[in-house]
Amino acid sequence: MKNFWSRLSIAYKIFVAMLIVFSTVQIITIAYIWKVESKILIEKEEKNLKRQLFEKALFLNTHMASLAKETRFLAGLEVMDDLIAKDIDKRVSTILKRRADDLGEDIVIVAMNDDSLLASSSKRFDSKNLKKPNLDYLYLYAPVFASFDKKKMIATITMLYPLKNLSNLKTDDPNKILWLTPPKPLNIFKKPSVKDTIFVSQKLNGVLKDWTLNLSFAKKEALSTLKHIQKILFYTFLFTIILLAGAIFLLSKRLTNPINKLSLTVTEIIKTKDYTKQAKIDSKDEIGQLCDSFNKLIIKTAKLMEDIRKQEKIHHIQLMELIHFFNDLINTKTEDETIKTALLHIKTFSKASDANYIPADKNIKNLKKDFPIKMYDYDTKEIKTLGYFLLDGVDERLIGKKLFGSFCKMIKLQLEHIQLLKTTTKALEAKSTFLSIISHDLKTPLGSILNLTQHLMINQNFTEDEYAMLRRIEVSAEHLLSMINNILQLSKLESNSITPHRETVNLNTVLDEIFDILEPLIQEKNLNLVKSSHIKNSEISSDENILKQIFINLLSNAIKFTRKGKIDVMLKQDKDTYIFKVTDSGRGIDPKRQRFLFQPFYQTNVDMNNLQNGSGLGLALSQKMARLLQGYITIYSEGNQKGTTATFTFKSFDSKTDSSDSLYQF
Amino acid sequence: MKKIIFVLIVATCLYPWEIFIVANKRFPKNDLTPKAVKAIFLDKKRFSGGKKILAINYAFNDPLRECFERTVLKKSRRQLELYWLKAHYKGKRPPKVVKSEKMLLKYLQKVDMAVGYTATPPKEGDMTKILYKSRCE
Repeated sequence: MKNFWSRLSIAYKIFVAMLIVFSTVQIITIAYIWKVESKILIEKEEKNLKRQLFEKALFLNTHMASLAKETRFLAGLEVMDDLIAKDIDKRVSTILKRRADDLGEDIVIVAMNDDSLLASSSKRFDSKNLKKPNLDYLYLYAPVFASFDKKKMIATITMLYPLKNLSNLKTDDPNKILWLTPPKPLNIFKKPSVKDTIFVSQKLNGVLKDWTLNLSFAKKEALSTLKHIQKILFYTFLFTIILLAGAIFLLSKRLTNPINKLSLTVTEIIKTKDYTKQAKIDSKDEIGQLCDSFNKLIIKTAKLMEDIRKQEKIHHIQLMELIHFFNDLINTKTEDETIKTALLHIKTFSKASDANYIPADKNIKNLKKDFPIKMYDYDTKEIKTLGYFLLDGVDERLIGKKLFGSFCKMIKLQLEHIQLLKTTTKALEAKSTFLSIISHDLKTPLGSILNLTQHLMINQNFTEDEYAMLRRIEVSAEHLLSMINNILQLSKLESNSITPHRETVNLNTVLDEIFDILEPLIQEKNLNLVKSSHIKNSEISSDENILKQIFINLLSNAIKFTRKGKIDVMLKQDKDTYIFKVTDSGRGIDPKRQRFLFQPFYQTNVDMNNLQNGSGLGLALSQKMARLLQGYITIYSEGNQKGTTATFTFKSFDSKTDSSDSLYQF
Repeated sequence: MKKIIFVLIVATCLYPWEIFIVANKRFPKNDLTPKAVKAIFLDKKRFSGGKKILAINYAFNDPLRECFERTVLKKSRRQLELYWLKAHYKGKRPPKVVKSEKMLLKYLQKVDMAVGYTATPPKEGDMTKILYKSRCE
């Protein structure tokens, strides 16, 4: 419903709103008129009826009183003395007849004495007829006294007023019913139905005492005016709605057309992204103003878009320049070159009219120290200012102080980099010198010591103690030699001077050879060695020497750190990856120390008394060698006395998949 | 109309008439002088024996009334007219008028103090008596 309403056109919304407002007002008006006005009308009508009834009652009262009076008048006539003589002359009868005729209304006037009818206006009446109680007439009596003797009552004059005259009361309006209610015991008139009528009644007096005159008026008729008004209101309502609908239709058309035009223009602009389009509306009202504002907005937006595009171009060019700048800067070799390049680029970049570099040691007064070039001096270990850039006519919009700050930092970094390179080169030179000294100056005397000792041990007869001493010299010299060899190899590896050979290696053969080499050590410690090999392809392309050296290193480590128990050696293949795994039941490694394992000269639980423990270079060397073979080594131990697992993962040089991802995990 | 013709016929037949002044048998007096009759019919004498006398006359155009006025009252129509005009202001009223002798008889029978006149003598059993007699000329 809400959705439907929101989708409805403005015209319909306005129409529905107007309709609701209008019909509410109309309904309230009609209801009010019906409720209140009908009450008022009925009250008014009731008043009116009461007045009418009063008039009618007055008339009836007067009429009946006049009839009674007439009767009395007749009775008082002198000629009524004739009634003594039973109206032989018919003079009384003539008078009564004439009177009755004058009065009309079917009135009958009779004169009677106690026992008989003396005179009558109508021949139909005799004394017999009169003695019976008759409910057809109203009887008006008047005594007749003799004119010569006022005390002598000779007869009575009776006026018979037909009751049907009273039952047939007429009103001027056929919708009004007027009727008489006789006193209680009498039930001679039919009571009309008074349902849905306005009913008023009034007690009569005089002759018709205890009678009630009633008047009723149909409510429908009383409210006919109101109904008429309501009808008019209803038709007015309909007519107004039709007019309203027309007016709203026209108005909304004028209202919505421009809006539609506007929205169409917007849609087109969005579609084509052509900001030069304008909505054309002629009206000068609010919508016209809206349209004008919209057009202005569009013009402004188009301008802004153009500006943004220009700015973007400028930024793009600046970015390219920056990249060139940094690229050139990085490629500089000396400090002078760096500053020269930087000056050149900054000048082009900032579009400065003049740019100069002033060294710090040159004392120039009033120097505008805008852009100092500072650097960290590795010799004095403090930051010093090298010099200043002086720029004239800089376009502030193109380049800000912040950007220049960044340039200076960049230059500073490059200068430091150059200085650091110088220092490093010096250190490298020192290291290579040191290595050559070791290889030549240390190895030569050691070779003499070893050779001479071995010569002594073979050719001379020594006592047991002397022999043991010589043996110790030999072992120490051998240890020292191996250590020097290790150091040499490590340095070679670090300087990347070793390149692995590409040759075909049979892994199983290599493994057997290793076991042959290390067999005496295992037997010496009485350890249980379990070997297993699960490879499909035992021949791979690799460097046999390096491979063998790693295998020996890992296995000898296991033997070295296991006093008793077993060592499990396993070689397996997973697709094109080979895994050499050595699991021992030795003393294990504390998890905290595991991350230092591959650092050179690091040893767990250093025991200086036992020279067999080695130099601490084994794992560092092995890892470096493993990398040469596109592999890596991991050492895992759950903790002290829980054994260690060393895993060497490597690949054949022929392997197509690049293992560099897994290679640099460590 | 028939009655008038009848009366005229009777009048012509009986002419010259006799006039009998008659009253109810219970009338306090048994005879009256012409003066007394005159006084009664001109409303000069109203009571007799303590009761009001009811004098009864005939209609204006009755020949007997004309005869009565001429012979008993001894006054012409003109004189009578003038008399009643004057007497009216004294509270006197002319006698009651009846249409017929029959009616007169009924009055005489019903009203004790009624006095009237007829051309025919009253019959026995009429309960009336003659108070005075005169002749019409």
